[in-house]
Amino acid sequence: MSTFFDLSQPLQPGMTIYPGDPVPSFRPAEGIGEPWRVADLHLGSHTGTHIDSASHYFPAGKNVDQYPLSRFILPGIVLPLPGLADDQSISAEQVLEGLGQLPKGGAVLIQTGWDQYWNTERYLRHPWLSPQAALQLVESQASLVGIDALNVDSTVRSTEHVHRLLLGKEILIVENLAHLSALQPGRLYQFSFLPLRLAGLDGSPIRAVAWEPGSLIERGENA
Amino acid sequence: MTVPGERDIPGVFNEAGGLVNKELIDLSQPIEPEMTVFPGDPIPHFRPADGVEEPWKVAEIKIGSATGTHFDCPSHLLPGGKTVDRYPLARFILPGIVISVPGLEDDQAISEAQISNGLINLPEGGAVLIQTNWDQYWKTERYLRHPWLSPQAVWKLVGSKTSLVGMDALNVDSTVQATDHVHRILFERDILTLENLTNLNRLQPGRVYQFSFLPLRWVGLDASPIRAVAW
Repeated sequence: MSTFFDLSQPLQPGMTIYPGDPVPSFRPAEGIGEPWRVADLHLGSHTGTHIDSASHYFPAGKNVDQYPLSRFILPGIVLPLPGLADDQSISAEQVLEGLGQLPKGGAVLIQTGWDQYWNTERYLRHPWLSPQAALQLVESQASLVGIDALNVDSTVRSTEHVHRLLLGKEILIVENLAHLSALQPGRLYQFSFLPLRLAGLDGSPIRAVAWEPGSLIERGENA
Repeated sequence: MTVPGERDIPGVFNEAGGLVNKELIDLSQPIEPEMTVFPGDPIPHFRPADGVEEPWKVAEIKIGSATGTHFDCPSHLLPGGKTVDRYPLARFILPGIVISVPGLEDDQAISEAQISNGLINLPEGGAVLIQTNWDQYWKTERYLRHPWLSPQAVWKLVGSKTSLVGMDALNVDSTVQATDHVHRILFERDILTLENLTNLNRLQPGRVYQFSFLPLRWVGLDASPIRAVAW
C-alpha cells in the first residue's frame, strides 16, 4: 500500500488552464553545454494544481511567501459530493454534512469528481460553492479550502464571491486537485500544499500530497 | 475574526490527530528576479499576466528547471536518464541527516574524511545534506566558488546507501572547474541531488529529521524547483 497519495495534476504543454491565463511552455534552455539538460519553463502562478494567496484577489492581501509553513502542512478531510451537474452550485447543506470530523484550522477538500474531465472542455463547467456554502466553510474554521476542479467560484458565470469570502478571511484556496477519491471521506489525513518560495507572488503551482497522520520516521515507512 | 494561521492548529499531526510540536524549518532560497542562478541558466522573470481583470492578480513566471533550491534527476546529465515525474513520492518525503563541514575555502574539495564520521546516524535510504555554510554568499560572486565533493567523498556517500545528496551551495560538483563526477557517479546509481539549500545551520548535525523535497509534477523534465522543509 502506498504511504503517500499524489493529489496533483501533471504539468505539461497542452494542459487545461484558466481561460486567458499564461499558456505553459517548456523547452530546452539555450546555451547549456553538452551533455547537461536544463529546461526553460514558462507558466502562470495559477497553472495546474496550485494555491491562491490573498493577493490573488485583494491588492493589499498577503503574498504566497508571507505565510508560516504550518499553513501549508496541515491536517484535513475530504468531503465527497457525488452526482453534481455542470455549473451546479454546492449548497451549505451539502457541505455541512461532511464537516463533522474537521479539526479546527484544518483543510477541507471538496471532491466533485470533476478531475475526470481534466483536459476536456467540460472541465470549465465545474460545480462551485454557493455563498452560503462558502460562509459555512468560514464558520467551520477551516484554514484552507481545496477543490478537484478549476475554480472554487463559477468559471461559467465568472463569480467572485468564494474567493472574496475565503481570501478575505485569510483562508487559502487550492484548485485543480486530483484523485481525491483515493482518500476516505471524513478521515483525518496529513496534507502538504507547500508553495514554491516565490517572492511577492499571488499564488504558486504546488505538488499536493496526502499521507496518514503520524510520524513517518518512527513508523519507518521511508526506510 | 481571528486569522486561522494565528489560531491554534495547522502543522504536523500524530495518529490521534494531535499536533506534533515540531517546528517546520524552511530550507529554501527565495525565488526572485535578481537571485543567483547557475551561469548560463535561464534568468528568472515574473510579470503580471496580460488580460487579467481587476481586482484579480495572476503572475507570468519564467524560470529554469534547476533554478533556486531544486532537485536534479539523472536525465539532467545522463541521456535516457529518469525524469522528475518517474519517482515515487517516498523518494521526496524521507528521513535524513545534516553533516556539518566547517571551515571550507573557496572551491575546496570535500574529502572522504570530512564526511565519514557524520554518516553514522544515516537511516538506510535517507537523505544526506552537506552543510558548507556557502548559503551565506548567496547573491554574491563568491557563491559560485563553493566547495564541492571529491570523488572519494562521493564514493563514501554511495557506500552509505543514501538515496539523496543535498548541499547548501550552487552545485555538488565544482562550478569553477566545471567537473561532473559528482552528478555522474550519483545519477548512475539513481541517487538524486539537491542544490541551493539554505538554513542547514538550524538543524543539529547527526540528528534524524523528516524532510519534504517534493518536486512539481512536470512531465519529462530533468529537474524541479522545490520548497525544501524539515521537521
